[in-house]
Amino acid sequence: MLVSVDWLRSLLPGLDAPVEVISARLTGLGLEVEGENRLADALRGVVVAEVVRVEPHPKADKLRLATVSDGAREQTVVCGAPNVEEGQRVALATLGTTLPNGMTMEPRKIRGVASEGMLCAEDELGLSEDHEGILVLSPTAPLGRPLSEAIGYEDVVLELGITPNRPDALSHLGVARDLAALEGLASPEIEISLREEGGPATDLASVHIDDPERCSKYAARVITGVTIGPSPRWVQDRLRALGQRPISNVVDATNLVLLEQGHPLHAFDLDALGGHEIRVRRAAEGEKIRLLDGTEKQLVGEDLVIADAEVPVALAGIMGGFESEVTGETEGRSATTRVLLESAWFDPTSVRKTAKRHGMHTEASHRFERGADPGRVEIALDRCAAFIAEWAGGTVHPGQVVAEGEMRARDPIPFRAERASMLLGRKVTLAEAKDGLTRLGLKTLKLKRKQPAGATWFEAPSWRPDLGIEADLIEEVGRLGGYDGLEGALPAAAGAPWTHPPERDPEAEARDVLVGMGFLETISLAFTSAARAEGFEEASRWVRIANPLGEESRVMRPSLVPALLQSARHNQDQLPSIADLRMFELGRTFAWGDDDTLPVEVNRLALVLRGRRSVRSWASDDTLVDVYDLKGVLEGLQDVFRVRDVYHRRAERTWLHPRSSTAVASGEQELGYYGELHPDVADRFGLEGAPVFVVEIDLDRWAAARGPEPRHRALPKLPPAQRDLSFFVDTEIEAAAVEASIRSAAPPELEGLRIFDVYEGKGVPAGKKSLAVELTFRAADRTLADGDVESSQAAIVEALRRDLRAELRDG
Amino acid sequence: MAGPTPEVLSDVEARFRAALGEATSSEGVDDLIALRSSFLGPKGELTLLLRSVGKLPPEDRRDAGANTNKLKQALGTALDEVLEARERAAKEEELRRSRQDLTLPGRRAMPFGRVHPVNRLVEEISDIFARMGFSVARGPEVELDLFNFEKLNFPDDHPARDMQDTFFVHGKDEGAPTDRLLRTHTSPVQIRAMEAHGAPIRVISPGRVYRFDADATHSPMFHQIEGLWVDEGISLAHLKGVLESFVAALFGQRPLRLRPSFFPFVEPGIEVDIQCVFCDGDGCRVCKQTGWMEVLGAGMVHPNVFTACGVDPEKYTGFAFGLGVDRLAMLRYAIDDIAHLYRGDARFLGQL
Repeated sequence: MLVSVDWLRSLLPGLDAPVEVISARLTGLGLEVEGENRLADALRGVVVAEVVRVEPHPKADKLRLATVSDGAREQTVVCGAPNVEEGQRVALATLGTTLPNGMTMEPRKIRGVASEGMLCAEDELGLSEDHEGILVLSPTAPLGRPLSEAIGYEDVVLELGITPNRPDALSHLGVARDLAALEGLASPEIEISLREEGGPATDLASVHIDDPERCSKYAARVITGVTIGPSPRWVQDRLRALGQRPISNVVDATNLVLLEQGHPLHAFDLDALGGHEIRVRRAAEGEKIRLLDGTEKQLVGEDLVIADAEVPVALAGIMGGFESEVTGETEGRSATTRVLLESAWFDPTSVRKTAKRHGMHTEASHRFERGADPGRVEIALDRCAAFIAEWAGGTVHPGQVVAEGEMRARDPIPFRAERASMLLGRKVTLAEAKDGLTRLGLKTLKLKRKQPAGATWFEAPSWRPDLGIEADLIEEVGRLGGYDGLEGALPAAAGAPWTHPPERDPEAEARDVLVGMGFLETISLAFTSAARAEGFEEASRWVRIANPLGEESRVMRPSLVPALLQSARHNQDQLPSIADLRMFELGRTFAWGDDDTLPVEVNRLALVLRGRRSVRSWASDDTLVDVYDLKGVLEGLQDVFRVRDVYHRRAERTWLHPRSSTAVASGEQELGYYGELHPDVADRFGLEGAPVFVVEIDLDRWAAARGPEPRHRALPKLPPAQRDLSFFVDTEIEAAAVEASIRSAAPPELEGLRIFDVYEGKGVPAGKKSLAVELTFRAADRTLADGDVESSQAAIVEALRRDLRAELRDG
Repeated sequence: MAGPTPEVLSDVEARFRAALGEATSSEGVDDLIALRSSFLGPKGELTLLLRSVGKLPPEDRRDAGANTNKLKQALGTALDEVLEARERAAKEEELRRSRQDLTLPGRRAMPFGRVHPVNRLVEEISDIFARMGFSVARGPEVELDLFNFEKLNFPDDHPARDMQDTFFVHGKDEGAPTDRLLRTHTSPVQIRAMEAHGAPIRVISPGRVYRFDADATHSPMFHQIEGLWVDEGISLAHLKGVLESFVAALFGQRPLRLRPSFFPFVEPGIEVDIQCVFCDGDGCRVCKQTGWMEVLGAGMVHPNVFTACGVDPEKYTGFAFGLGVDRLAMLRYAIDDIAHLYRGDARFLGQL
């Protein structure tokens, strides 16, 4: 909402504070000043000059050379305007000036003659669309002074961010009213001098409301003999300064009243209204209307329209129809126009639904859907009629043609000073509150109600639809008093019980572990494309966005992996020669489950690992990571979380390489999957070069599988006995089977088991591999004799031979 | 031979010490070994003198023997000291000879990773509020209209909904999208927390939120931290006090400015500015010369919200606030484009 400071001052004669102070006050009232436009800034560098001489251009018939003086110095300007004459005072854009249309004045030659600046037309100055000729100023305009000063173009326009609860502040009157209440100035009044003539308006037109719930009041005036033309200059200037385009005296009158009082109005060509009748009704299903902006809308039965005797002529509270527009085109009609001027109150929800349905948003709908002031209907109508009569001639016929619908009565609002004191945390007296609320237009009521006890009752003014309950009044009192003086205080610490679980946040814990292992944390947008989601979850379970920003964001990610792969690709593009990457993300994934109310959201952790095992340096070789590095990371996480009964087993995932696709599980529950990325998926994501390894775990399950707090056990007092065993087995025998076989035969004294060498190749028979195992034996109560260890070892060797056909190697 | 008279002994000592003095500078230990052997060895001068003690008259023997022995011991010790010093020096020399180049970088598997700047702030802010006794509550990111809007006092078809451009989500089986959405703020967690725990309650809720918006300062996904404190007698002054403590913990003690504003779920509604952390209120580019930075929206919980959650609005009052984390991260790390935060660029993430 743009607000002219000059206009505010004219509404509030006592307002003499500088602009900065007014800005600060408005922001303090909750009408936040988001921008400030000093109009004069746009004309900086443009000065008043006098045309001293006009001579023909030596090389161009249509151009002339004007010698102008700013009172101190003469200069020559090439000018193409037909109206330039000696003795005129004109607007000279001096060198270096940038005009509102973006043109910058530089010394240049026009057809061979140097021009030092430009004599400006109104359109070049942004003053109007007029390009008929240069702007000619009054002969008394002060030479050499800024043009803005000479033409009084010195207003400051403030851009206010008006929150949706304050439709009353969508006008100069409303903003002035709030300022007046704060400053203790008299509330602004608008005086209307309207002269009525001729036969009563009710003889010329009729108004009917068929839907009294959605239109509580419709008032019309009839003005005959209207001559359509431009509105007065000051009106055009004001509209332009406030971002509106002047159209005609009649339309400008409605717009000026809108900006002044916030009430939307519409002017119909009375003779285009069938039966000279206005009917506020629901549209018939499928009925069509062509609107002022030229678009045609097909209406539904829920839409509220203004119709004449037969067809809709306006979309109520949103936009007028094309056919009944007041245009001043006189084809087949008298030279003057008969106008029916509408001022009404429409139901906010109805206007909003219709506007949304038809994809429209207008100045009128913006105000009606927030709540126009029902008390303003007649006043705004008279104000506008008076302007039209003044600017376009014509006769305002006596009386308003009015139809009434239903207006919901508003409940009285209680106010308790002690409640206000408690809520605001400062002493509020009833006297202070009454004073402030009265200044804001509220009235005290004499009501005898028991609840709440001790309340004073108020009635909100018609322009404040947002005031309905006690808290609203408390806010008004707080707002007028200002919050700057409020002393911050801390509540007594007792009260709210702790509802947070004692465990450390698993995300924070995982984050610390991985950061220590050299991983960068990333956050990706939670949307993905169908193509990227493919293969990570059944498409039937995807959570789809109804209004995505684009193809890239149609699906809520079913997995964190695709975005990590995208990052891997992005980073590969940045440093193609080095594809080193350690990155992880913590976040939710989305998929529909059994419940159809909301999808299932799972907190997950995913990480990607590729490239060198360690930083390239003098101290390391360039070995690339493999799947065991990945597993090592996962084991680190297992250790920190003490995951219960953890084991790893083969599990096929479409996105993992079949040779290493693995699940990590706790008991029967799979917690996540890891392995080398499937080469096809790597291709799909454009990952080239070093293989990519990925993990994705369900962090909720992972944290739930957390084992108990560790407990201290007595440290062993007796020495262990260690033995290394080395043997051949078939290559397809897995380590887990070896371990299981050993444990099945081992005595309770077997304390540790570690595979410390795996080898295939030279010296090992074809189809076999060599495994070396370190066994640690210890008894708590005695030192193990060699004999004990020998017999245990023999049993283990026998088990390996029996279970896995393992052959002990010599030595 | 006169035997080990004091004169003889002092002459021996003088010669020994002179030889030892000269030997100090020489390399190796051979000279010292030779010196030991010529004075103290089996055929050394002092050994011979000691043997000659028996030839002295009996009354002189005791003193002469003791003096000679004493001297022999003293000279032996003196020689040992020199020998030891020489060996120590040689060893020291040897250790110095293997000096290593510690201007080379150290050996490490990987440099440390980094926590994402947004999450770093989320953790930091959560910790501050945890110290003030706030628990953490969480809610779904795909949310029902009921929680995101309706129970937060955004009536159906109210223009207040335009304040938050919304992504709508299809129901299961591509059902009607109207009542499911990506939460536009963390405020629905207020509702869920109050419905689950009632009052009194003191929670914060960090999380991701979504709005249909994308430019240099807006990302369609961003982070908020919601705070809610409900109890008997909670006031706007308490909101200010708690936020003052929070700001002091995060940015150091600095003034706060409360301005009236509007959010449907609070009444009064407040916008909170803090004194600019870059210019301390003098006015700079970041604060657009105002000296203030807008950091959060807040207010006193609207009675309709309490009623929707089954909390008695006459008995309880409370404040709520919502903080945009991304903006704080951008301010703290001088990040000019919000898209950097979500692109997963290792160079960016490794910088901060």
